[in-house]
Amino acid sequence: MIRVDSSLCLGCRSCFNVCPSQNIIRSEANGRATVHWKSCKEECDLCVKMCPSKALSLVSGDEAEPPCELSFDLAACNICGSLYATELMLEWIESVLPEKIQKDAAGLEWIRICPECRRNKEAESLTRLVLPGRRKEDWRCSWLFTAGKRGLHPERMKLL
Amino acid sequence: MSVYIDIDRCIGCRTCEAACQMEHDGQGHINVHYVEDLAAIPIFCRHCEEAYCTTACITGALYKDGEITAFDASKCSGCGLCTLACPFGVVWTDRIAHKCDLCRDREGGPACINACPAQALSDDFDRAVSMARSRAALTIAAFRGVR
Repeated sequence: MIRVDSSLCLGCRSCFNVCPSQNIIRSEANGRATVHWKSCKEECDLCVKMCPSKALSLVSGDEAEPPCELSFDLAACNICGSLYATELMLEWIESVLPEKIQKDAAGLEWIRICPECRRNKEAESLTRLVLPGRRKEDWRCSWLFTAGKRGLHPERMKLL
Repeated sequence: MSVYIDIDRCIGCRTCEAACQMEHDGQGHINVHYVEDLAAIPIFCRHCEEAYCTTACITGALYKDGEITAFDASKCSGCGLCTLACPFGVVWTDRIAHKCDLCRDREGGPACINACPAQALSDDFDRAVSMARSRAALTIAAFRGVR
């Protein structure tokens, strides 16, 4: 039998992924992630071993542990607004990473940004590095072109 | 060792993306991002010295092996915490995590380096460092109005 400690569970995908008999179901709908543990009679402790927050434990005995269901708030990306992880997972990440690196040079809390937007941010900052070198050779990278081709577009102004 | 990119050479053809996907059964680790119409930049694992994905990994599937941030698929539970800990957003998870392994099993080095038609990718550390220095100098010079 699996017992779930609801105060420790992060709502990640670990137990759902490793369960060989699909007794754990995780779904995401309407801004919430739901994990459902069916009452399990298998003699296996994969989910217990793999749980990152040690929220699961095996209990012996015949009394049937009732099926358990927990639901978690999903966090929205600060830039694009897509739901990319549960709030508790992000808080856990914030607790294990050193405090001083949780904001980048511009003061941006990158943990609260989805991976896709993190890559976009990285591409943008690298572009800002190469533009000065290109301006010598390529007229398309001139200040006027960057700012002016589509009017004063805010996305392009950020690169100036 | 890691793969370094010379952004000035990148033509944005996404050949590296395709080469990586072919090498890893369709599950690639490179994303080419386009910034307006000014630059194309492939974003992939940096093999950070202080890798936060390894800090977040509880099962020990992600670990530092010398300079390489290595991944052991047999230990991965697919929890997705490494995805959230990566500052560059290059680790992704479906049933297990996926990240750059520098094509360790491939003869002749990483597939992306060999495939790049513009020679924008390389694993030459010294060249990457000297380019980064001159770029940084140019940025400062341009900021002060020096031409």
